[in-house]
Amino acid sequence: MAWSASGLSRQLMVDMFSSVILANGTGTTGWAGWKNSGTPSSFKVALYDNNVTPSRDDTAAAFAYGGASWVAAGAATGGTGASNSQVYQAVQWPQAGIALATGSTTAATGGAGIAMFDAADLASGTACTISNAYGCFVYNDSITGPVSKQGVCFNNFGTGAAVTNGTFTIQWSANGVWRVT
Amino acid sequence: MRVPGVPPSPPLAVAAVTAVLLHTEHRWSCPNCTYEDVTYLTGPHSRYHACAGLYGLSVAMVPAGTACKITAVEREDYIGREDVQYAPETGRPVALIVTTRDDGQDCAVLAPCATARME
Repeated sequence: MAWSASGLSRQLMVDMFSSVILANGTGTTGWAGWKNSGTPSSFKVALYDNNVTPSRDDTAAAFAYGGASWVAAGAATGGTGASNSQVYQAVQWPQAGIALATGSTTAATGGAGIAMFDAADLASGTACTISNAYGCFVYNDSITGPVSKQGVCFNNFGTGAAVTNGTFTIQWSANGVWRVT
Repeated sequence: MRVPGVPPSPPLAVAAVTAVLLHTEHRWSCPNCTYEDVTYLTGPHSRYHACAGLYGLSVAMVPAGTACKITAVEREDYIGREDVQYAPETGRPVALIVTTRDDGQDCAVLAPCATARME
């Protein structure tokens, strides 16, 4: 019951290649271009404490916000039990997370055979107080089916991050939020 | 139409409005190096720089005059195949950059990239 690595959803890849999810589609199954064009899907980033057990091999239903692995229940101070895992503070870094402001899927420069998704860094409000944020969960907040709010990836911070009356920022890697190599 | 017995309305006057032109100047500094900067944006914003005093990491600056310290927290978890972020000058993996102020604490997480292989 803890974070051990970062990962990209295996089921998401399967769903996209098998057209269960239409990467450039519309409607309930359309992910609408990953923010590149048209009306982009809204991706959100929620924080979790160390009581979750992320797995890239989860089913789509479990790998979704509110699913078995990424429960919506949580506490403003974080880390209060296995069924109470999300870390948030109203307004500052609200429950269900903050939306990625910008982002794009690209073929990364500087490396052959790489596809990646990058986005602008995320910051909370300036009076945020949270603790025990061990990682984040990135999911599509727009779609309602076949699985509502299906997840994309999870990123392991490597330690319990905390802020007190300050700003909580996620600086994404230069390699992006996720990448496939 | 003028109603008998009712005094006439005062003439309309153009309201005098004083426009205040705000000159928003924000001065930024870093407790770990000598770099300083000035911005003129009106909305909330922050300023980053590659800090020579903190291993070349991209670090948020603080408003000039703020009493604070900024430290980098090394990543202590097993890295394995994780695509983590490293301090440019030392090559050590960094998990957090923490700014401790008199009235609180900021934290910037250097999130690793989530990866998958097509092989």
